[in-house]
Amino acid sequence: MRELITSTKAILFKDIKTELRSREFLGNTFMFALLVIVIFNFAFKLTPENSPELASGILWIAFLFSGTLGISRSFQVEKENECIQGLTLTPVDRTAIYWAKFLGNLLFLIVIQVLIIPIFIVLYNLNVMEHFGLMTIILFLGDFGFMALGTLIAAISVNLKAKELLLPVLLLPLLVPLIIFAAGATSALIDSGNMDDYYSRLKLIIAFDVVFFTVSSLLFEYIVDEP
Amino acid sequence: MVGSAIIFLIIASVSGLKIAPNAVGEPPTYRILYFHVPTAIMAYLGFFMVFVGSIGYLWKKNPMYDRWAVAGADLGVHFCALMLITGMIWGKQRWGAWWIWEPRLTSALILLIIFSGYLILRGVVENKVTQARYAAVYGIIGFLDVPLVHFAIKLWGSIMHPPKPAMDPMMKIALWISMFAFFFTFVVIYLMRLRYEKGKAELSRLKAEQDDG
Repeated sequence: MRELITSTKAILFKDIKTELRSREFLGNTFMFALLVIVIFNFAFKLTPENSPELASGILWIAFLFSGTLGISRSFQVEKENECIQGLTLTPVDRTAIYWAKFLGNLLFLIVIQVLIIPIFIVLYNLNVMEHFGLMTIILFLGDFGFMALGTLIAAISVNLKAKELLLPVLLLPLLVPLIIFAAGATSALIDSGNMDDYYSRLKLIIAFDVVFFTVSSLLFEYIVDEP
Repeated sequence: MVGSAIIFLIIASVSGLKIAPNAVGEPPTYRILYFHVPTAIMAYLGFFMVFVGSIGYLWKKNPMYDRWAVAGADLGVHFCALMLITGMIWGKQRWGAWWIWEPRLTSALILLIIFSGYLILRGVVENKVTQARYAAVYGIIGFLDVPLVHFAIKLWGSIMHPPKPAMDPMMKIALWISMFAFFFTFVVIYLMRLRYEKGKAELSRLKAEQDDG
């Protein structure tokens, strides 16, 4: 177990270091998420009355799209110059590679959210400070489940021909339950204020996270190992 | 085999459309139930076979299990589409709209998309071993998603599935007959599909041998 954590850390820090050398990708993804939020405003013709109702859905769509960009990148960089082969040749447990990629993706999405949510609150006139803690929990658990599945599917799709297209095609339908739970819980906080709704969805998100994180950790080796 | 499947389906249609009595308080279009319910169950049976075959393949590395999975996915997707179509025809009569975002209909649509994704994934990988492994991973994840999709859509949706009409004993018998007919048809097509996949694998093996020789 110790060894697993050490190797996970090593791979994760390598990824963070390379990402920090060129912050270009993070900036571009941030711009993309911002655009999604702005464009939805025009598509729905938001007013102060209907914006709390629609906000949670728009927010999660922005995260979903920008997060998908992030995960496709996490294996794409390894694919260039066949880095993934070097990585799989090192004598580390495959689970460590999965965990490191998972954590990297999670961190990436959290950074995007930290940047985008304040802007979102201002632009959509929302009152979230009241439930700041609960909001953070739901965002974190939603991201967790998203990245648990996303990292696994990205490891598959990076080897396919039309990878940019197939990642969302394969991933988004699997995420439908998560989006329903997460957007529902978020909307309970910023719109209806119904706490029973919040907690019932929170439990289901935890179930989703536990199931798919465990299963993905186990299945990952079947994807990266050459037959 | 194929002949008896067709005969069973004809018997099921006659018993469902002619012999079974009208349901109390339902328009005669309720009779589509004798197709709708069995196709739904067969769709889930197909998806379940994907799950069984996928686990079997990753565990034993035997291509036979991969064939179980692909046959299950293919049948599951087709029966799922039939279920959606029969549900829509019924809905047009009952609700006046082809499509209503009703929980079970919506869940079925999501499952159809997930397992179509499974078939797309199989289509884009050329190497047989890689294809089987990727598909097995996706098949397991996809099947585990099924209960979550159900919970989620139930939470999200508000319009309820039509309650079971009060079932006359004759209606129950007719439903069981059509259930059996569809199950038999499922098994027949499933076995044919397995034989086809096996033949295909054999052919590509022979071709490879010839190229080497």
